[in-house]
Amino acid sequence: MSGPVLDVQGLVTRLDGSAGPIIAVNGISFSIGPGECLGIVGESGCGKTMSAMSIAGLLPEGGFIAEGRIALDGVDLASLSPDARRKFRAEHIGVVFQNPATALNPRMNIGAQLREALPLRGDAANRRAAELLDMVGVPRAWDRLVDFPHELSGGLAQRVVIALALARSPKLLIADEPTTALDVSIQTQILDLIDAFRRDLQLAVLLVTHDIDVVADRAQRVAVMYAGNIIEEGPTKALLNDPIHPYTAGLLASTPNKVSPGTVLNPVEGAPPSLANPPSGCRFAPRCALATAQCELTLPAASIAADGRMFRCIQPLSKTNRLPDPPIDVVARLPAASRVPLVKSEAVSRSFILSRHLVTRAPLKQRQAVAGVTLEIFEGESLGVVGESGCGKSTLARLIAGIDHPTQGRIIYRGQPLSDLGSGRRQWRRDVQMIFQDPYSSLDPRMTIGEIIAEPLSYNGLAKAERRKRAAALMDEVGLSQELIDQRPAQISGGQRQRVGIARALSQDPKLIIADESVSALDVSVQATILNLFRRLQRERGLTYLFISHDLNVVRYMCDRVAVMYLGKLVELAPTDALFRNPAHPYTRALLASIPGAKMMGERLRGDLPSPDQPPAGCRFHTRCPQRQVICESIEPSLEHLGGGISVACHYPVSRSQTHKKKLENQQTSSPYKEERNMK
Amino acid sequence: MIAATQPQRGRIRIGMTVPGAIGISLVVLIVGLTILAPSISPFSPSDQDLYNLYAAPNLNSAHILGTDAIGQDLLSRILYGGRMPLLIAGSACLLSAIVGVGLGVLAGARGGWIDQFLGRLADIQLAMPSIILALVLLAFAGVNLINLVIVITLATWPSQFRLTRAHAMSLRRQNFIEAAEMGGGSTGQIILRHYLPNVMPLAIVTTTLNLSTSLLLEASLSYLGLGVQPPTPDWGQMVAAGQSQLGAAWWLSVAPGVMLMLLILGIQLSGDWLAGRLSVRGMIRFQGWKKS
Amino acid sequence: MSTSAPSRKLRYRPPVTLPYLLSRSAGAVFAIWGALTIVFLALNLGGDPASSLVSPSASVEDIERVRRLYGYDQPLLVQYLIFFKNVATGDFPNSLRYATSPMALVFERFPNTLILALCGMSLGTVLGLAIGYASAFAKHWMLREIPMAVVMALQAFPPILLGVLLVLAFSIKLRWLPSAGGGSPLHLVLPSLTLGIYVAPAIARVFRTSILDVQNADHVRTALAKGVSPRMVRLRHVAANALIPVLNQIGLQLGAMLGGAVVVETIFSWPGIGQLAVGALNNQDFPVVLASVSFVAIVFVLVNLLVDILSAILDPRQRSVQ
Repeated sequence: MSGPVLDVQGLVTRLDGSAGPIIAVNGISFSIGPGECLGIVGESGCGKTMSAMSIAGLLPEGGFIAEGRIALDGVDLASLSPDARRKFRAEHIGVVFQNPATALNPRMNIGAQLREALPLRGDAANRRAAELLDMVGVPRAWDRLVDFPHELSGGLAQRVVIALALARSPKLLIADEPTTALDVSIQTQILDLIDAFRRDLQLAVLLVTHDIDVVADRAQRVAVMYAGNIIEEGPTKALLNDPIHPYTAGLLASTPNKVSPGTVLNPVEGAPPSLANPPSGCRFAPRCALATAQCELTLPAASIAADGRMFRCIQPLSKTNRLPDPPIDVVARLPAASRVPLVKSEAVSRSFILSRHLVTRAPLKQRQAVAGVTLEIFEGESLGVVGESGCGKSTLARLIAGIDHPTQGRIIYRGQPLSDLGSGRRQWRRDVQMIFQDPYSSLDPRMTIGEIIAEPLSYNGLAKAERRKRAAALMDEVGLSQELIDQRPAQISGGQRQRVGIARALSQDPKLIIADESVSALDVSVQATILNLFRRLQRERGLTYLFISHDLNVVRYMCDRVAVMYLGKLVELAPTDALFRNPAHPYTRALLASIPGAKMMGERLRGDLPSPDQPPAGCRFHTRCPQRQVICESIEPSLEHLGGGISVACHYPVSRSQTHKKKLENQQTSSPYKEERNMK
Repeated sequence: MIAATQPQRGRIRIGMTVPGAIGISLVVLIVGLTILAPSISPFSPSDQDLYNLYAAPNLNSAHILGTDAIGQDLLSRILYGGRMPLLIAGSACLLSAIVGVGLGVLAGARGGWIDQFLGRLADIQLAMPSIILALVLLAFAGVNLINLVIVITLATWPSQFRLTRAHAMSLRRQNFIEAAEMGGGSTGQIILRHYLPNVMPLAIVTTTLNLSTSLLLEASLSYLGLGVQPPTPDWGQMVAAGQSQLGAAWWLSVAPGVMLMLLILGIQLSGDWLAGRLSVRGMIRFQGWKKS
Repeated sequence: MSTSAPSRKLRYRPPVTLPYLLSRSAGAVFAIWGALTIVFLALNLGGDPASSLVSPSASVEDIERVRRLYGYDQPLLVQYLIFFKNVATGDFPNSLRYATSPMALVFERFPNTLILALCGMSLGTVLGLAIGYASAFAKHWMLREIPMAVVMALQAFPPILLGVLLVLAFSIKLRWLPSAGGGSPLHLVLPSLTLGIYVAPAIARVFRTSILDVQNADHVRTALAKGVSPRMVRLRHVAANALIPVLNQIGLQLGAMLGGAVVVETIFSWPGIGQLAVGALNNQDFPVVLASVSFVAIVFVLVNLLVDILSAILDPRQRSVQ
């Protein structure tokens, strides 16, 4: 049983689409041994999914392998007939896809879909299917066989997809962004599961992801892709601690988790080249700070470093050849914020009626998205709100922004309830602005960039020529080229759209900007440039920020204080440093332990998020809490101030000494990039 | 993750396709002939040439397409026969566009009880197949021009309402509407600035498709004797009148039917082309995919 | 970690849930109420309902008798309730032309309409599905393109022209089939064909686009990765899923199809309810119009309900929708 499970040599994949032929994968080589996990990372459009799908034989229409050799378990796939190749792949490769909600056939029940993958029939097939579900940790497996995909949560559905992938006992597991669509606590569970099978079944795992933190945790070796090439490949620890290729280094400098909170992100500027018409030399040269004339002439050949790493660069990083420091106008954290509350939510709740009685129209089912949240936002600070999907953080943001209205409680702006603002209402509407998550739906596709930015000004009755001038100035301020002023949203990139949204908000000269997952749809290098922009604007305009994010690393990097929400409730509020160092609520603690690349150990979250339609009685977290006591099941804890700006809603908050002990343990057990995680 | 290449939204592609060109030419030709009927038709549609009953089509005679049972010139009647269908279906279509799009935007943009009420109204309407609605209304309210227009409008507005409402509701969930609200725009301003321009392409396409539905309904009613009454010529009515002489003079029935078919074909091809050009194909593909 | 599950029966899950049935049935009752209300309003729109339900030559006493018998002397609201009662019991004034109960005529004609509708619909559905499937999957481009092009062109044919052309070709020129009337299976051929061709294009078109949509769905890739053969993937994961929008489309077009059926019955003098109603309308026999229209409106709602239930069986996601 020697030799790699998968050996890829010089793989070239072409895509003949309507826009002409594209070389999606341009001669990549790698191999994976049994029990080994290779991570492929890169930004969107770099060819990582295409590489994985070439190996799995699942290329989209028009895609085909133009050159190269794929050997699976020692067998060259090209030597097989198409039909035999299909069967061989089905036997030897299991695939886990990105979106569990769409990866299963909505028309068939789980059992039927599992049976299809099995060579068994009838009762035996059912029993084996239940066994597989049990193996991937689906509770009540036998009963689940007759359930339909839409009846499962995302985490359970992804477990079913993994069961399907493992049904034929494959040698290679291809996981294509297996956790991107999932919440952080579920993400950890799924990655743990894949890890366990890798070890127990000696599976070779190809893990494709955009998230460097995930790779850092899970892969033994990493391949970094850029514009269809692998530009650096080697052992995870060496590659992430000491990158050779400037792009790898740029990627790391863009990741908030890889820089300490006080420092500045140093992202790679620009965008990856179009694969339809790539540059002739090194494909990274146009964005590379170290590029020379030589770089633009030829595609660098693969070189081997002293430690055995492969890289494609003629200007490799070294002690003497370093990336330049970030531009100076990007400034790190602000001085301490004031203690003057700008906005306050006072015991606000927001319920949505899900269904009504057929005759009386009385509400039958309600979802309390936000349940009695009291929160102050101080002038000049950055407050982060984190939590898993369905925790109500976005609803809270919309309530504070005034585009949704609380069913109970009230929002207070500068000491005045919104309903009593009177003549101050106009000013309030200008002062509080929001940046949305989806850069596509936040811009009207029928308007030009200039019109969009100046739209709020038109409601104030500003003349057209004046509006255009203001729009141009705002574009300058957010780093958008003025040439774009007459373009439409479809013609610009996602990062540029987000800048347009920011410019539109700034046109009102706001005091508070609410950023609702504003960077989560963006690639990491673009995300970093937007985060830097937020920082600069805060310093220049004295803005107050409310940051809504599921990404704890981003919040940690950006915010002074952090509020943690769970099922509509505020469970903890603390200064960022204190929260990340000494989380007081068991939920916060578990959440922090779930972050990929986290240096904190602790009990991770088990089980699924309960449905927000029927939250548990008592403390809403008690169903998943490792420290649950009897009282938690019946009595809801209120938010208590612990001093030091820390508030927590828990009957048994984790005391300082306990966390201190935990921290000591961590220092002994954790290294920055653990080869393996102890999960038993 | 958002890739660099995204479907181009909001941009209008200018491109004529062969089917589109054929469709528009057909519509222009037939509508033009119909409008110009008084100046180009050789006879008055009600002139009777009693020496020439059932004349066969003959290029060298005065009656190029022949005559019918009472000696009326078929060519003239066909040219005139499109006037009533176009007038009735056209007005009904326009009315239903105004009502359907207007109420649809209102319901979708405002939501709440207005939406509930209008939605129920459209549901009741849809529970009544248009032919049954036509039969019962024309039976008890009488067959006349106004009633025909009303019947066809009633039959077509719900589908237009539902498509517009669904689109307006999807717009309401778009962040740019909320951004406009935060920019200080009033509901009226936002409807004018965002809803109407974004709904317009869909409205143009559904109205086009509605025209073919309306023409078909008008022709069916006239065929059944419930539409335009003789002596005013009308294609559907002419198909019915000619049916008894199919063996002897098949063209009496077939010729007006073919005119109707060509017009409908033209409208459908143009509508299809418009749908592609205005990129609304996805919205109308499964009309009202989900019933509420 | 693996446990061997006991050999027992899988939990039984009914294809349609009771709450779904109940809520849909409630919707149907609402729809019937709405439709009959429209009929009632229309009846009162033409002035005095009693005088429009008797023959024009009827004496004043006759009108008065009908007025009292059917409650048209009562206040409007009471009339409304009496109207519902009369529809429920099938009690309408006698036909002026046939001098019998209109409901008897309706029931006599109903089987004919049912047969025609079933034959026409099945023909159209089979034709539409076959062409849609071929246009998406056939190996040869001619099979993919030509039937679809023909069907798209046929979409522009009004049923009146189609019927006339078929009669011309098969009855008058070829003399193979009767052109009008009922009574033998041969009489059924042309009307069914016309109805089928009228229905097929929409089905073919929706089936094709929905197949093309489903083909790109993620779950198809999952099925291929599992090792399901391409043929089974096409049938079980693509075509079967693509049927759901087709069924929805059929549900939405039932009204238009019914209109087509009325026209087709008239073209071929097929002794169905549509022809009965149109004939009665042209003969001013309003009791028959009233009875047939009320009956068809109710049947239409029930057929709609059936389609809803069928689509819930086909699409488990719809079952949980209330």
